[in-house]
Amino acid sequence: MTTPILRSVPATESLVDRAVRGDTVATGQLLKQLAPSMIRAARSLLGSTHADVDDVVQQSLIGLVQSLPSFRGECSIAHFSSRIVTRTALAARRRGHLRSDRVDDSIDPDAFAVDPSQAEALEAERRRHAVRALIQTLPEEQAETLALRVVLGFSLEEVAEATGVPLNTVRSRVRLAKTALKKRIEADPRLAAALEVE
Amino acid sequence: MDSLDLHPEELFDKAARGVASAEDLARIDAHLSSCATCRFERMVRADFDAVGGSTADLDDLVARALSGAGKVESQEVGPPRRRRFGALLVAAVAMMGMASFAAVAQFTGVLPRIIEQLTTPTVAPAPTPAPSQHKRVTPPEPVSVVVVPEPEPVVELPPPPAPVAVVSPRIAPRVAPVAVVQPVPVKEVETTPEIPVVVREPDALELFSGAQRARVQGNTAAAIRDFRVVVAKFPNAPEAALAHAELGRLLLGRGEAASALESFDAYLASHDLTLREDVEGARAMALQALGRTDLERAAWEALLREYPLSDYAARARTRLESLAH
Repeated sequence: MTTPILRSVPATESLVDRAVRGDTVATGQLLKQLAPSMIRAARSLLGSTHADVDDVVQQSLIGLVQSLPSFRGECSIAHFSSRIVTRTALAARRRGHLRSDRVDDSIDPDAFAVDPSQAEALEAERRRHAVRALIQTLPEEQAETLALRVVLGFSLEEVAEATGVPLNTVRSRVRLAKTALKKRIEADPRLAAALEVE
Repeated sequence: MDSLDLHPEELFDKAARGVASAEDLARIDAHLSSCATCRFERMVRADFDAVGGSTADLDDLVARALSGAGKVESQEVGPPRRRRFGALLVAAVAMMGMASFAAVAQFTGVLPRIIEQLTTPTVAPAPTPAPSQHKRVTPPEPVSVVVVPEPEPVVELPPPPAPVAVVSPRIAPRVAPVAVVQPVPVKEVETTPEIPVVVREPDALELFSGAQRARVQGNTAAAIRDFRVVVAKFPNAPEAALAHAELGRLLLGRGEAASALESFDAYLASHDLTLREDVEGARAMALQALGRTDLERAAWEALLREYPLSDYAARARTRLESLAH
């Protein structure tokens, strides 16, 4: 099983407390601890070469600083930051979905067919792209839940803590999102073939 | 509901934590063998886990975030940057490039403030040279330091001989923010090492000017980022409205019509009149790009009603004619 992207941030409690109290030095140190994971999350949610990655990271970091006073410790600071970057990235995708998705949609699978390693990388990107595209079409709550669970690797409990909703609600959202995922797989011949879906 | 819609999520989580029993694992395998969705999820989790990290400059990233959030990072965080030189040259270039903006901005008083900002020494007040340059003087007032974001290229100065009033560039919102200090006689600075320095954050006008410089120099990404900082940090300042307008124009030029439309709407909601005609025209074009024909038609009609002699009038009539068919 995969390693969640935003779990292993070694932010000490005292550092978080100081940052929440408005200590600028502590805030800076905390941001430096969290930023790599947030960058990685933004790249996962948008695509590594997406034009908005830098902006989303920047907005997420600003949002995190501005939200710190409201942080009550009901989830880890890593999960708190992950929710911020997830929501920011999803909003960016929604804003940009009417324009051409220059990176993700420009994939030409046949151009990589000769080199097996590139072909495998391309298939992986195809799967990631399928999830990103699906997330863009889902209702906001389902999209956020699917992003946290599948893209960032959160457990059900972690999703519930990060989003502040009951566990059963998370279960329901995951189930609905996966039903939509199933339809998307079935509608994509290449994905369906790879997964041996009849 | 299909039985396959009942995915054993808790078992997946137990397996991820490494606490699944043999029976749990067997149930997972049984489910995966018949559920393509969960097989896909397992694969794609690994795919996302393989997404590479970042080589971003964290110092710069964090500094810009703190600046954007209205905080100034202390110099205790991260190594200090080397100062750079060239603000006057940049200011001159920026002033030339701002000619189009000046046409409208000058009527609002914004332009004179910008020009004043660009041409005024960035350290004020500079201590008056004492008759004896080596004699230590004690200025009565603290020195105020303004950080002026400066784009590339720049020329690096040799290490300073004395603690001239320098602010960590990390408090500025740009990639290459630099504390620029007007030429202060070195000897004089050497004689006043104990000058108390008051560091203050760049205000809305300074941030806006920095963003304009980036725009003028063709650094669109930096300009967009910095206009957003102005909007986020000083939402009620007059510069925020202008930043919305400039942001919208840049985003539209980059093909991001939806985001541009948001910016144009934010500008129009500000009740600033300076760029209203331009923004209404640009907004109509954003709506055209988005294919929102009804709103586009209404936007062109409103523009013609309010500004019948607008530069956009011919385009408006052409589009309205086209939309009528």
